[in-house]
Amino acid sequence: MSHIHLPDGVIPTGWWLLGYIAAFVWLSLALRHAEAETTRRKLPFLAAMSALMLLTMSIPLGPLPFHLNLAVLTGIVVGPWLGFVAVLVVNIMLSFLGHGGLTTIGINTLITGLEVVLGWWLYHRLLGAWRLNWRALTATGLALLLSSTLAMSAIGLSTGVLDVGWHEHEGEQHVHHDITAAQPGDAATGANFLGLGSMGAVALILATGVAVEALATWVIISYVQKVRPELLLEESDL
Amino acid sequence: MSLKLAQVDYIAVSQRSFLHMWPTMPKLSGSMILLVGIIAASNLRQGAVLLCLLIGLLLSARLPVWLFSLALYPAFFSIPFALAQLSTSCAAAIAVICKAVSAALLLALLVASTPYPQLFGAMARALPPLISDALFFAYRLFFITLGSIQRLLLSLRQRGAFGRRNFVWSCRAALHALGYLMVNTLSISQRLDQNYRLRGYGAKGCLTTEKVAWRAIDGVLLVTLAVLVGGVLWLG
Amino acid sequence: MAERLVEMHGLCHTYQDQTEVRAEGLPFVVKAGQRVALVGATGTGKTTLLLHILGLLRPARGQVQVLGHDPARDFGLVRWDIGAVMQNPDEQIIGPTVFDDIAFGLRARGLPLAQVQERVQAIAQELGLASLLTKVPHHLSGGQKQKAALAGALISRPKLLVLDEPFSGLDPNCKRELVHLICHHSEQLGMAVILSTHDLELVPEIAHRVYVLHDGQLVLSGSPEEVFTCVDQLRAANLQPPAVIQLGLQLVEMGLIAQVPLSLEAGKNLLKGTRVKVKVHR
Repeated sequence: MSHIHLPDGVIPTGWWLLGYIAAFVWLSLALRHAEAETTRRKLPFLAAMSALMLLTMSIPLGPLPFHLNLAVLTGIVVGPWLGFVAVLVVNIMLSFLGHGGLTTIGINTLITGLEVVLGWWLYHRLLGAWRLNWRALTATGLALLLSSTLAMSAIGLSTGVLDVGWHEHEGEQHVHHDITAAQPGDAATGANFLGLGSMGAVALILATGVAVEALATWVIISYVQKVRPELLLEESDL
Repeated sequence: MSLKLAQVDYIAVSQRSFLHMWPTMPKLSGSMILLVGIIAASNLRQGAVLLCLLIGLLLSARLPVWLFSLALYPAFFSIPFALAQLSTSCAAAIAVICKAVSAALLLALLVASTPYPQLFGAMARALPPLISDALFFAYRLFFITLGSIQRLLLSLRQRGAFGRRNFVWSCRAALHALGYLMVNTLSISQRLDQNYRLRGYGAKGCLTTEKVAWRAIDGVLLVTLAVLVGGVLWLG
Repeated sequence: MAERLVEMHGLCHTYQDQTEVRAEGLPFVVKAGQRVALVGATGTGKTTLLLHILGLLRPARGQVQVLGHDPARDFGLVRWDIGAVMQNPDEQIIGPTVFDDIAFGLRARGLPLAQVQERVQAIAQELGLASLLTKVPHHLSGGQKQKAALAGALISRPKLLVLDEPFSGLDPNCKRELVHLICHHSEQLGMAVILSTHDLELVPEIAHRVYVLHDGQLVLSGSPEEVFTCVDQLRAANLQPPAVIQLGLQLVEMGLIAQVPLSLEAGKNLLKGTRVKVKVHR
């Protein structure tokens, strides 16, 4: 979990259009890079991982306000290009079920696709010398951290959500509080307190989500390693 | 959510409402008109009218009321964005949530009144062959795997995998089950691929034979809908 | 002399987890128009053997020839003349609707849609699927899925039909219906059939020739009567002859009939006119 399923109608039109354009460009690259025979052979795996991602998202994690998504695991199994396609397929289906929206498929796919690509790169390239399960744990954690940070930044910039905690309205005027310079007593207005508290809560939820997903991927990889280790290796490693 | 997808799929193929009878392409076009209206809505009044219109469609088509619960997820996810509008006005914040809920309800109505072969078949005209085939494959595998996961969870529960005494052990058991499911699903997909290779499949998108049907009345309906949505936005 | 469609000898395959599956011993031969049953206990390698015939696996040792070609090497050539129905129909029906799945093979060959529609309608009528053509596969029953899979295999009028445990999970009526359909199409099209099963009751009704696979060896081959009367060898292979044959053997031993019947109907005919002395103890 690192992403919010952005619904329709909440982010400015320019941003979701940009999301679609960027996703389209990435998809074109993905389709070109994935060679015909590899694509045909890996299409069933792509579809299987898409189905698994959909199923896994429905598994409740007790009181935790998020779910697993297996995006990094998808990247590990099918590669970065087809992994992006798998994420697109999942987001199309999720948009019909209230998890995301039709206009935000592009931006939702970019955010999750980033996890797939980062996860694949970290697992197969940067950490290639490590043991499989430690690779999975680290790759998942880092990929989710990076993609979550970028996602939150993008959402914050596009909607000004980040701005909530740092300013308040006095009538028609915006008043920005410089919380670094002010005395603790002066700056303890309701808006500032709320802002710091809400950002802290978001950071805590994200960190928990990243940890849970990384641990889950680690355990799953440990299992698959015993049963079908060839699924976790690239063809060049076999 | 996976069970909801199964339930929605069943409603789409088994019920017969006026929404089900409307051909897929005109229905998709009508949905796009409504979606544009929802996104363009700039205040709570416009958003609320469109939401009421959709609820009216849900009730008049005699679709299950629980479909509305699919529209509640976006309400949760739109809260951060609504908070950003709270400093402007309370109505603006509620309008954000209203728009998100309306858009989700619209798509829920679409998918609950259109069997997936027709829906994906219509979408396949605009998607690359690989994506449209992946959509069909993934949807089919989802239902094959759904049965497996239900049986697996039952088996685990019967064998005491989810006891309250050892939380860590239970989590490990559940994740191993997920690993098993992953391996099993990949094996199934390989067997599917074997069978389809035998039948000549080459990832060139020839899984569906859905035809596009347009009638004169569909044009009239779409124009009426566009005028209605335009009227709501203009007068609201 | 009928053309030999399939010839296989001394097969050995090693899976990735190092499990070795062998089908050595007697040569496995299937002629044009012939229906062959491959029987053996669970786990003996029947499916592996069939996958080699379909060209989906390459043997580590041994030779496989299908229609005069190496099926793994000439997969693209051979596959158009083979139809297959695998063990789990759920894993081979992927078309969005029953119509799409049945039509798939013909559309993959590039036939015009009008011709495809005509042939799909025809095969659906024959198999009793006409009312199900617009249905979504995951709402079909097991028997309906099996028929849909069979329709998809038969529509391209193959020279060879390969069936892997096609009767598993079906009720007796469904099984009989499938047997009838397979025999009918085989005779109509002159199509050879290879059928793997561990349910021996139906084999005499469908097969001209039976091969028994046990412990990596093809140990028996012959007509159903020849094979199923070798009771000791069948039991050694963890198989039980069909009940009607076991009864027939007993009746032959008792001198009540002259030959072992292969079906209940044949048994009834053999018993007609037989006088039996009954001793009543008062």
